[in-house]
Amino acid sequence: MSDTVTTHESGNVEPEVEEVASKADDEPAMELDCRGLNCPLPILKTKKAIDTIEVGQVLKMISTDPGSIPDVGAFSRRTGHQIVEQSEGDGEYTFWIRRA
Amino acid sequence: MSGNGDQKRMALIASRGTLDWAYPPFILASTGAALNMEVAVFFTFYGLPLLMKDLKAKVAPHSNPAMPMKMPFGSEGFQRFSWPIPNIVSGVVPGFESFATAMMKRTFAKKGVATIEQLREACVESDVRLIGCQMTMDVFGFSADDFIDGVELGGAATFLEFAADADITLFI
Repeated sequence: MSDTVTTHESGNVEPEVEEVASKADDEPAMELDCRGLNCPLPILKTKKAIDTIEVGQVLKMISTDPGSIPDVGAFSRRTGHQIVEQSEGDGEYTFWIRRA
Repeated sequence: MSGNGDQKRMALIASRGTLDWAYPPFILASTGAALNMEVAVFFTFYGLPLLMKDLKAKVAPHSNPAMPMKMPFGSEGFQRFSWPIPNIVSGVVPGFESFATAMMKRTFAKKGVATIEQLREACVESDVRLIGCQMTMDVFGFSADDFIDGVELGGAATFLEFAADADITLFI
């Protein structure tokens, strides 16, 4: 799934980060289960978790809160952490977020 | 720190201390911090007890016609039903507030909503400035020892100095 994603962004100002963001790194360095949690816990836990991984590494977060779709997007735009992929099915929402 | 370099600043005033009104300042403050914002909350008047070690916030259905009275147990239809509790009942029956508070806490827990204590802890962990109103403390007879660690005391000027450069300012 995640290895089909193109990771290179033209607007990236840090060439080193782009180096790190190679294909192999799409494998999540950490998984975070936010199933059953409601706003704002998935965002608070995502923030806490992403601070513990290295820049360029990917956090996989799974939630059941439909509000996660707009909220993780907003989190990504405000913090600069990049959503490399997201999917939904069976009432679950999964995000792959690369630490910026 | 990660982020885009232009850190936003949010200044909140928490002036209400019931369980329902305790949520907005703590949700916004903790989420703002998670979005790399610099956040301060000024707790004044009835908001000040939200900083006490022993958090006793309750919810009062009395004179609050907007509050749905729902049960956190039973069949789905039963749980969806909003009980029409007249003010004469919610105002007179002893312990009605405690009952409504327990129901709200159970419903929130079932829906995966954080407790106020959890959100407050998240604020402390993420360096949200929690400013207790000195004047309110004096008026209500609290002491600094009543509050959780990390609370700073100050007045209107302390808050306004921070708020003067804020991108978001809310009075709750």
